This record gives sequence, structure tokens and C-alpha cells, in this order.
Amino acid sequence: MEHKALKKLESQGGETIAELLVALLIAALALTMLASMISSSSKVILRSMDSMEKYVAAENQISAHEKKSGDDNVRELEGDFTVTLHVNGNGDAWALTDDRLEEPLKVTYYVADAIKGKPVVSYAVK
Amino acid sequence: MTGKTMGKLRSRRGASLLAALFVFLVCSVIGIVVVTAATAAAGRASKLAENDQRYFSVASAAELLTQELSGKPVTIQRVKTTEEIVNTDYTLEGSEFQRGTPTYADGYPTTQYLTVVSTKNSEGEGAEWDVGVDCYTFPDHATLPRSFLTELAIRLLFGAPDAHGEIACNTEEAFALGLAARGSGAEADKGEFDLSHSVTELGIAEKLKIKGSYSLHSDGTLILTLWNDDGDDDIFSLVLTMQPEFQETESTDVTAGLMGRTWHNLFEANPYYTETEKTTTIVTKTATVTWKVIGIGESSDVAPAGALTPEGSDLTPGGGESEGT
Repeated sequence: MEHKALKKLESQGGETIAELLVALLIAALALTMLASMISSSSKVILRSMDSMEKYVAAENQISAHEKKSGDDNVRELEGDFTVTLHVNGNGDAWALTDDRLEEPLKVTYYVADAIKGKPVVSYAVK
Repeated sequence: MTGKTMGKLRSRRGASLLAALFVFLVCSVIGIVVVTAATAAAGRASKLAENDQRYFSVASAAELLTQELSGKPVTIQRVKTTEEIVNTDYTLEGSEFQRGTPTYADGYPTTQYLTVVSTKNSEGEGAEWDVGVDCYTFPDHATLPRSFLTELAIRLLFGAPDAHGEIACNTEEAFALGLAARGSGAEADKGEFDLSHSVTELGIAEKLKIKGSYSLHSDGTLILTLWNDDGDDDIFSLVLTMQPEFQETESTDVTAGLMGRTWHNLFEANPYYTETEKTTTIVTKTATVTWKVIGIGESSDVAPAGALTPEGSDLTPGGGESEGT
């Protein structure tokens, strides 16, 4: 066996230049493709890590119902926005308590835009 | 196998193409695995935002209800007014008039019930609604403004509406009814509600829609279950358990006075006169109910048996129907 392997190594038989060039081309293509895939994946992961960091920072703010000044990841929506209660499928709006009969329940919304296309919102009574 | 290896060794043909294709295959597999892993990581962040939105919708609503309902006293005052108009004849016997047996002028005393719903706090601020002697029905009554907490207090005191949607709040039974009189075995009064938002920014109001159910038990315990109603099959729910503090005071005010005296047979042998007296008894019962949140829990962990849960949803962490504990 060893003898035959040695013989094979010493053999002068080979491939054509064309065959070799095609093989080299395929191998180069494969390696280039792998490199670009790893590169773009690492870019995706880095971008994802960056947006996760922003998201967690924004999430902390919206869970505390506050907006840090200078942070563009959280928006505060303030206006005459009200929350209404409907009981037993009745279309009429109900106040939560008698105190709210004359003064509607107004809320402020906190919107975290850190993940594109998926804003996360919380709210609190003004 | 050995034969094939030997054949290969003996072969004079090259294997560069085969090896290159093998390298291509290996590189493709590794590349696909790396790209898939990276995409999955990015996708998880997107899914995380959806899950968090469900949590924030329900948690914000729970916070809002706790802030608005917990510790707010609701006072319901019931007034019973009884008028007795009594005629007493005084007949002349010898030189003195003797008092006869009193009789009711109309044959019976007249009683009127009045229910006053009030949320006046200790500083005397707040609304006051006089229901009057004509009782109202739930939920179609027009005389009262729609206040969730006041309705719950009315239902706690007077019970749930009957088959005709009426609450017996102007009867002797309702007047006598204290919290203990409802009986611990009484079935919980249940209903549903939803919270909606007027915010105009695209999609936000839809994301924050909340459905809820209330379950009012005979001991006054109020269970509020909240869950997201954003059209998603994934349900996140929170249960608020509220315990009541119940105070009832009673005061009686009696006023009596002579309405008039009428003489009869004045110029005859047997003169007598009739005195008409009016006695007004006003009994006022004031019940104050203050619910306080004693627990907020996920799913039905803290909900008592019978609490309403979202239809068709499985809220128990371990699976199965949500029956409460």
C-alpha cells in the first residue's frame, strides 16, 4: 500500500492546464463568496447589536414613562389624546370614576423608534 | 472499499475539479449557516419589539387603572323617609278632655326611598348624583353619568341587575342591605370592557387596544383581567386584584309636630276635637367603598375561580384552560 502511494506521488501523470484553471476559478469563487457572506453577516450582527443597544436604552425610558433630553430614539406624543372605556359592548364611553366625568382621562404616549418599522409605545396619565 | 482506494491510487486522472467543487460546497454551507444565524439574530430583535409592545400595552393599562381606581372612595347614600300622619280624638269626660286612640290619617304610614350616589371625598369635592325615588336600570339608565367605579359600587350594594336589567335599589330590602347581607356564596357579577385611544398617529391606537373583564365577588373583591386586543394570537394578560374597604354609617332624624286641631259638635252635648300630628323619620345610610389594588400578577395566577379570561386563549403558563386557582 505504502509502496503504491509512493509510486503515485512520483507519477508524472497529471491534468490539463484548462482543468486546473477551472478548478482554481471555482475555488477562488467559493472563497470570495464565503468571505463576502461572513463580512455582510458581521455587518448585520453589528448593526443589530447597535440597534439592540439603542432599543434597550429606549425601552428603559418608555417603561419609566420619560424621555431623556437629546435622545432621538424616544418621542413624546402629547396632545388632547384621551383613553375611553366601553363596558359590556356598549358603544358609549364611560368615565373611570366620577372625577373624570368632567375632566377626561388624558395621557402622554412614549414612542421608541429604535427598531425600524416596529415602534414600541407605552403611555401614562398626564 | 479497499479495491476502490487502490483503483484511485492507480488512476492517472487528476481530481482538481472534484476538489474545487468540494471546496465550493463547503464554503456555500458555511456561508449559508453564517448568514442564516445573522439574519435570525436581527429577526429576534424585531420579534422582541412585538412582544414588548404587547407587554407595554397591557402594563400601561394596568398602571392607568391602578392609578385611577385604587384608593378612590365611592359613597352611596340611601335615604328612607317615613311620614306618619296620625289623628287623635279628644272627648270631653266630666270637665276634662280624654285622649283617644290615635289612628293613621291615610290608614298607613307613607315611606319613600331615595338613593343618592356620590363620590365626594373627604375634602367634600367631587360629584353628587341624586338618583331619586325612581330607580334606574343598568346599563341603560339615563339619569346617571357613566362612571365605572360608581357602577361597581352600586352593583356591590344592590346586586346585579335582574332579567329585565333592573336593580332593586328603592326597596326596603335594598335599604337594609349591607355588604355582609349579600352572602359569601353569591355568584360573582361579571362583565367585560375595553380601553381605546384617540391618538391619531398611524397604528398606535390599534397597538394599544386593550380588552378587560371584571369579576365582582360577594365579599367585594374585584378582579380586573386585562389582555391585548391588537389582533394578534399571542396574548399577554395581567390580573389586578382589588380589595374593598367598606364603611357604613346610619343616622336617624325624627321631627314631630302638630298640624292642626279640628273641633266637632262644639255646641252640642258631646263636643270633641281631633288633633292631627305629623312625624317624619329620616334614616340615612351612607356606605363608602374604597377599592385598593393588593396584587398585580401575570396570567390567572392570582385570579379566583370564575374570573373571566380571554375567550379561546390559553393564559396558564403550563397550558390548559385558565381556571384560576
